[in-house]
Amino acid sequence: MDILEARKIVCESGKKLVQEGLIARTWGNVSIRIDDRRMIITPSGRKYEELQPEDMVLVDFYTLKHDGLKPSSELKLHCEIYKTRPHIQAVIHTHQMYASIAAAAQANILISDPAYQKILGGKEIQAAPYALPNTKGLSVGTAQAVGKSNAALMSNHGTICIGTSMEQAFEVAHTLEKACIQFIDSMKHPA
Amino acid sequence: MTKQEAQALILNANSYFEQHSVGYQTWGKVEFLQIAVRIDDQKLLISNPNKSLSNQTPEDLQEIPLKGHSYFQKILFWSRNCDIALLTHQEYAAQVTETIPPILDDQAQLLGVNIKISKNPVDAVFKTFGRYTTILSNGQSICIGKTLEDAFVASQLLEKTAKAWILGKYIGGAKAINSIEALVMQIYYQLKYSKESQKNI
Repeated sequence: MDILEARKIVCESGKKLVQEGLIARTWGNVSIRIDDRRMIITPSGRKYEELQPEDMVLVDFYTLKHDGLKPSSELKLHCEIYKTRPHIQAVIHTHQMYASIAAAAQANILISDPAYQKILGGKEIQAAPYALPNTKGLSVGTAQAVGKSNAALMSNHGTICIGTSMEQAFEVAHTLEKACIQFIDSMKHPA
Repeated sequence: MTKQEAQALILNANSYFEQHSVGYQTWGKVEFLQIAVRIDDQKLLISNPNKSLSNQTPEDLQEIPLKGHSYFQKILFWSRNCDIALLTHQEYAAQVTETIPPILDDQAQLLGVNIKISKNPVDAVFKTFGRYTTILSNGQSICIGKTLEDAFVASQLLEKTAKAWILGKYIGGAKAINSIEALVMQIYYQLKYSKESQKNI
């Protein structure tokens, strides 16, 4: 993908994460693959509404070398996904409400709706073991929890949602939220 | 802060809350009941508790001594790093009846290692030590911060955490993070990450 185009997509996607209630403030992060060793990712600690495409950071996901601003603190997690899932083009890390409830409970989510299973890439979305932010334990554990699916819960933290396009990664995030609502409701009101 | 600045902050607070509600749509309802702003080390300016924040006029605002027996006075007297306190009523926080341990990373980073229930203003001094919120035994909450933004975010994050705590009970209960790790995250956030918005430009 063209670097300028990628910067624009990532910048717009950061703002969209906030507008769609998937994150608030400076939390979460979003990236897109450029080629087999580089990605564009949002910068660390900045409010999305203030960002411009040129603020997005180009990172080599093997060396972690980057240009411009300091990249998101969760860049290792994004790198791990791109290294282990070559077909994945976009990664978003969200703090969405109902998935955060499940993440706080460290609960694996059973996906009962076949349409959701198709989008999420499996019948169960796993909760990765808890690890401190920005650690190898977090990135490796979360990538393992994603496995062959398109999402994972990050225990006591949030989610990671991936796709073969940015649109698909957002669809995964919204579907995961609906699946978590359904899961919590089913436990509240068992049949 | 001058009295005029404190007055402007309170009178504009409601529109600030409305403008900055994007991103928090699904976290639960937070109603802002009253605001206290530190003018200096002797005085606070508080809004009229009997009127909505959206209808406050300059005549409604009252200057009171920092030393006193109310929640606002006790908490802001002892929390010297905070200049703003918000009294809120929140959909899920109002349902919490016990201490919430650290169950979310962002909670630990911004609110402190846990969220405690305060029985009275003196108790609230201890329950907000090293923390930015406390739930009152009457179901209301107090959220504090250096700025209006900090206190506002504390109120929203309290609601998110309370919702995770309450609804998490249906799926096996929220699991607590190790308290030491929660403290490390809070210190890291306050010393480093929160400064990135100024440094990373």
